Amino acid sequence: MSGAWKILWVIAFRNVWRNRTKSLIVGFLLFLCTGLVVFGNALVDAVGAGMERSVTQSVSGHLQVYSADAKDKIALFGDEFAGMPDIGVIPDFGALATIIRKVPNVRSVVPMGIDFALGSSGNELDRWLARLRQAVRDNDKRLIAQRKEEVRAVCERLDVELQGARELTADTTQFAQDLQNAKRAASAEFWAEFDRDPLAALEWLENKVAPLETQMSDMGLMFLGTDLAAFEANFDRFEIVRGQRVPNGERGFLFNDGFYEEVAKHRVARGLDKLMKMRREGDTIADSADMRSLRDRLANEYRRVLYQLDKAAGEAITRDLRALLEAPDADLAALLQLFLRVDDDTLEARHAWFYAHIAPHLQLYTTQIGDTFPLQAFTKAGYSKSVNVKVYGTYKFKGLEDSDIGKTFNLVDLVTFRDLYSLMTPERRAEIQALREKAGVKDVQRADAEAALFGGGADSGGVERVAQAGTIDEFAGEALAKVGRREAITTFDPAELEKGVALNAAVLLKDPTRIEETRADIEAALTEAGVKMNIVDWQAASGMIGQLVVVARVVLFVLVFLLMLVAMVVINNSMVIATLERVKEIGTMRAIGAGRGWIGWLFLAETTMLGLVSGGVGLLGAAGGVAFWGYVGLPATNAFMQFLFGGPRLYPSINAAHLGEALLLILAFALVSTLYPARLAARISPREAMASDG
Amino acid sequence: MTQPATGPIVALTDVYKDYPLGHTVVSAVRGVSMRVERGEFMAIAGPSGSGKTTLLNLIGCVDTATRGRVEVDGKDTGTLGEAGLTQLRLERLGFIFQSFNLIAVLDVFQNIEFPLLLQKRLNKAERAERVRAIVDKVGLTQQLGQRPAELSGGQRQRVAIARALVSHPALVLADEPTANLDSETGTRIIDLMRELNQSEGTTFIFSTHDPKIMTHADRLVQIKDGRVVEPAA
Repeated sequence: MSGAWKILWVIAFRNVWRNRTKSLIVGFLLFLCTGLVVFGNALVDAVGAGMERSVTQSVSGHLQVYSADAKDKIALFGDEFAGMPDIGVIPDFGALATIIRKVPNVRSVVPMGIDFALGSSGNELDRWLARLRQAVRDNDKRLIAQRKEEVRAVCERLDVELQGARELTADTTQFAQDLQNAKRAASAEFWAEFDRDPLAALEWLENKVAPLETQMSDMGLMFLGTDLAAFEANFDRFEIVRGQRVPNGERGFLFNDGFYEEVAKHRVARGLDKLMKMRREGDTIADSADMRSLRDRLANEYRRVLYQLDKAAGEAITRDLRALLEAPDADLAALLQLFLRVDDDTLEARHAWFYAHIAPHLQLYTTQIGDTFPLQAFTKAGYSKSVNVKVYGTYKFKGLEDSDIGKTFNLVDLVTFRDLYSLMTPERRAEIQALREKAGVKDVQRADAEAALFGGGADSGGVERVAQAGTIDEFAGEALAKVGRREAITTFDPAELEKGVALNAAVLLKDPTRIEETRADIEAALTEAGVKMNIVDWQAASGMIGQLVVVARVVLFVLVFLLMLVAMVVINNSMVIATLERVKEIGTMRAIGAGRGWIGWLFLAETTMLGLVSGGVGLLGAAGGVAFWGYVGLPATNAFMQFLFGGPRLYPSINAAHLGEALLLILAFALVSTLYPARLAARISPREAMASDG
Repeated sequence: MTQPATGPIVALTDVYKDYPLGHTVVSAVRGVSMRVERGEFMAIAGPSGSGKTTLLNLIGCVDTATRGRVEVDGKDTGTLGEAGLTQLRLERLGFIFQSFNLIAVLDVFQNIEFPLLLQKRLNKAERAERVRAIVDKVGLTQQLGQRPAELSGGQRQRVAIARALVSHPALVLADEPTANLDSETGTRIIDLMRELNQSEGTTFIFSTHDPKIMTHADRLVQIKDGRVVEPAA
């Protein structure tokens, strides 16, 4: 470095030191900017990587392939309107997979299809009636007597409830009929007559009384149809929690465990669990309006307990609750309401008491592992379609247990998915036809369906359920369901998974760092085979969710930009003031022979120096922060953060690129902020040296 | 830069300098013509606002004439651009200011060395030798490491003189060099300038309104209202 440049840096350094207050303010801003850039970038990168893990290891794989004719873009977690996009179909998954599997970096290809469905398990009275029907079917006299008493007890409670609701009802004619039915179901005469024609009595109860118990247990669920074995083998986060995996070649359903706990669990148990969770997180009923609201709703849900208790259990719990609550005269309904009206002092004890004394007598989940339950979805044509499927167990995505997005999907075998979505292989269609013939089902026109099936104007009652019908003849399916439920197709040839239709396919890679390159390879292979498909990476496939990292990065840059804007104004102002304060000094330098360029560089050197020092400290501080959080782990404070972090904690890390980028950015920024004052200084005339000397 | 061996160091021919002042134009220098020979020790005298500083600015290449011709060291300054004027100042001129105008953040040595650094012609050892030689002459050997704020007014002006002379300029311009000094120190500073004028052969042009100081000059040019009232040579 020449002497002129050396003295320039000396003057710059000494000026920075001389104006320490100003330098500290500017330096602090530069420090903040650098720290924010480094820490923010490390955080966003870590979130990106975490989210990538969350998404790729649970549902999307690294790439998603779907029809080129899709109306919408794929959005695995739903589009911006929380609906499912229309992504068309892959007509022959096997052919597609064969081509893709030949691409060297492809580890595997998993077929998929995502849709919404309604899972229904009836209400409490439905369940009691099913037990009574079973006892009647088994002709077990002792059990029939016991079940009759239990159903009657539920009907008696229903009668009391309905009378209580009389004043709230607008349609008094219908209500009078309902009340009459409930009264009849609770009467001694009805039950005395029951044994004469139990099936007719049961049908009457099912059609006329059960619907009066309005607390149905329908649940909306999102399900992902896939080759379950391939899914388990390829998505590392998949883990069975309860029950077992669906055996190869069998139809089956796996609840997402988190969803199962939140939706399928008995509402009172779930409410108490949630209150306990909020309490553990530090909230109190006294202070939290949410907790109070939940507690109040819980107390109103007492019927969900009441209706499930058989006589013996009801008596035992009444006795115990009277002692516990010191209310010797209260009936069970009042006792349950009192019991569920918890406060901060009683919550923990009552939660424990509930699980010790009440829960053993309840059906804790509306659908239990091992149950077969109807899954009702809407076909593309808009008709509802229902398939009975056995629940084999529950699963979770490890590390995403608490995340809402980790709880999004329930899993079903691909063959059932195709049935629900009316996407069938020719073999399957032939098999269904054989069953239909065996059941004596005929295709009917939609307009004639009601008359053909139930007779003119007959009250069909309840919800129409449609079973495995291949064409749009859902009403005919009702008949099939009645006959075919017990002989529904529960198995399939595993080879069928490859043969048929899928909506999309997840592609998992051997080397995930080469996503874009592999995407191009797959595209080339498909083009060569004359197949046109959409191929997108996991981020694009995740819809809005996938854009979160981009959004986070934009937010970070907006923050940095705003901070920099403030810093720029401060730096610019302070340097302009410094220029004005140093007019004489600069004029002197110019008179002595310093060129304009040299003067400009003097000012740039001052901010460069500040930028280097503050930026350096900012880098060190941020690197220290990142290292600390990288070691300790940044805790995910809510479920969504758990998804973003790819687990319960985020471990950010720093790399040379982060540091280099931030330092360059800050230096460039510091220089840009000084351009105007530097130019101003360079234009100071040497005359200024003499100005006051005239 | 080549140094013409002969001819006047400064030659002004019918020089005017006008400044706009609101809607009017003020003429600070009006039709000045004069020659300054090499090695002269010349004073420009006149009351405040008479145009002394403007005249020095024109000679010192920190300003250009509105009309007329200004030649410094054989160069017509009107034809030189900004860079040419800067180069001329750097290579051939030295400045001494009324308020000393030292660079506050540099010590005595660095202030004096500054023009040599900008010239980039000498190496570090040569620069040090040159600084020490001039420091010896102005008597500041003990103050080399001190900053301007630590020096007295007379010492500061000695540093300014050393800085003006360290690059061996052909011409040193001093604008009221004693105005901020007591009379005794002022006299000593003028004596020092005179001594250096004689020992180094450097031309000195200084402005003053102090009659006592004027007496030290070989030649005195009186200026009033922008005009030379005492005929120049």
